[in-house]
Amino acid sequence: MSGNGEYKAGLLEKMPKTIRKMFNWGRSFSLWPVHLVTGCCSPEYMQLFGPRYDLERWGVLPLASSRQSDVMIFVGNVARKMMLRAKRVYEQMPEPKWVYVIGACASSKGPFPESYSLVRVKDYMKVDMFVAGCPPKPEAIHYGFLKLREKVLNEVGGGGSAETVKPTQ
Amino acid sequence: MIDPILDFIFTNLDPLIRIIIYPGITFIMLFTIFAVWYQRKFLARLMLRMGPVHAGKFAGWLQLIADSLKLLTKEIIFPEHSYKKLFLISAITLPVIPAAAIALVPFAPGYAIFNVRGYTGILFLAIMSLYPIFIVLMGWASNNKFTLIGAFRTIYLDVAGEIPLFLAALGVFVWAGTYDLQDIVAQQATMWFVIPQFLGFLVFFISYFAMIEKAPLDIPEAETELVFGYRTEYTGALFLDTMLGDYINVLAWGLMMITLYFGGYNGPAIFADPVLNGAFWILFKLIILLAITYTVIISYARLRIDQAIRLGWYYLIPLALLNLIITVILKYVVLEGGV
Repeated sequence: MSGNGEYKAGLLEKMPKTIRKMFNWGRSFSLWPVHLVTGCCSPEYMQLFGPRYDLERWGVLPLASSRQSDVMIFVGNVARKMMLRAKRVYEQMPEPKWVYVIGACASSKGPFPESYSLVRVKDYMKVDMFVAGCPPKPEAIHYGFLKLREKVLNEVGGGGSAETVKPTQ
Repeated sequence: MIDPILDFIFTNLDPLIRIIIYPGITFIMLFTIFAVWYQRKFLARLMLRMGPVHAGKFAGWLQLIADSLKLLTKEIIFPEHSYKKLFLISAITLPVIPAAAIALVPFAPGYAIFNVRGYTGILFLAIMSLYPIFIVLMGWASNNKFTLIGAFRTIYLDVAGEIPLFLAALGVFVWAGTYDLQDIVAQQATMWFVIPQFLGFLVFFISYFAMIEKAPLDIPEAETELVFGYRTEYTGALFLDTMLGDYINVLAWGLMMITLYFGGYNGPAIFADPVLNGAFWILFKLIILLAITYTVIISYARLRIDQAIRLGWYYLIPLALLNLIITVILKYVVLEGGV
C-alpha cells in the first residue's frame, strides 16, 4: 500500500481456483490503458477507440489518468529522457499492471540500432506484450490486446509485472 | 438467540423491504450498474461504435461486473502526506449522501423509504447540499494540486448552480402550495408541473448539469486539464466508491426532477398493484431522462469556469426569480383572484 512498487501479490494466490478464475475474468475484460505518447505510432493506436476498430467492445476504456489504469502502453520510440517520465507514470499505477509495447523502435530500436538516445523498453521493465511493425497496423495492435487479454485470463498468481530489471539512470 | 431477530424481521417486514430491496440499497446499486452500462452503450451508439459487447452473452451486460471485480482487487495507494483517515472516510461517505436523499422520494402513493410528510422537499435539498462538502474534503485530503483545484472548482460551480436550482424548486413549492414531495406528486395526477413551471424547469435542467458535474459543466473533473479532478488520487475500490457516489448523485437529481416536474409515479395504470405501476413509470421516465442527459453530455463542449459562473449568476438566477414572480402572480392573482 505504498505506491513505490512494493506489492505483495499473495492474497489472490491463496484463494481457491474458481475465485481466482473469476477475478482473472474480471481483469481480462477491464484492461484500462494509460495513453502515454512516446512516439509516432500514436495515431495508429488512437484509431482503436474510434468507430472502425472500437476496442471498447472488449472493455478497454482509454483513460487520461495513471492512478486508475492497468496497462502501460508505449507507443513508438522511447528516448532516454522520456524513459524517466515513463518510469514515473509506471510507478504511479497501482498493482496489478501490465506493459504493452507498440512498434519496432520501442521493442528493439527498429531502424535506429546505433542511436545514442533511443532505449529498449525491455531493458527497464518486464514487458508483457510486443507488437512489431513500423508502425503496426491498428489490426495488429487490436490483436495484441486480445493476446494480452488471454494472458491476463490465464494468469496464475496475483498478476502483473512488478519487477524492474534496471534502474533508470 | 435467533428468535428475537426473526421476530424483529417479521414485525418490521415492510420497512425492511423498503430499505433493503425496492427503493433501497438493492434498487440503487442495480440502477447504478445499469446506468453506467447504459451510458457506455448509449454514448458508443451516438459515436457509431458498439460499446461493450463481449463481456456477457447479451450486449456486454456483465461489463460493469468485470470492472468492479477488477477495481476491487487493485492496489489502494495512499499518497504521501495525505490525511489518510479523511481520504478514506470522505470517499466512503460520498455515496451515502445522495442515497439518503433518495429515501424521501415517493415511489408510489405513500411508498417512500422514509415515509414522512411535511417539509420533505426542503429536507431533500438540504441533504443534497452536503454532497459537495465531501468532494471538497476528498480533494483537500489527497494532497495533490489537481484534486485541490478540482475541489475549488466544485465550490465555484455549486455556488453558481445550486442557488438557481433551489429557486426553481421554490417555484414548484409555491405553485403546489406545499413542501411535501408526496403532495406535489399527488397534485400532478392531472397535469405535470412542467407545463405551468416551464421557465423554472429550464433553469432546473441547466443547473442539473452543474449539480451532477457532467459535460457541458464537468468543470471539476475536466479530463484535459485536471486529470480526474478531485478523484485523481483514488485507486481501486476507493475509485469505485467515488464513481458510485457520482452515479447515485445523478439518480437522486433525476428522481427529484421527475418528482417535481414530470409527475413522479403518476401514469396510466398498467399494473393493478400501485407499487409496481409506480416503479414502471419512474423507471420509464428515468431511462428517457438519462438518454437526454447523455445526449447533452456527448453533444456539447465544456464551458470555462468563468463562463459557467456567468451562466449561473447572470442568466439562471434572474430567470429563476422571474419564474418565481410569474408563479406567484399566476397562482394568487390570476387563478385565485386577489392576494
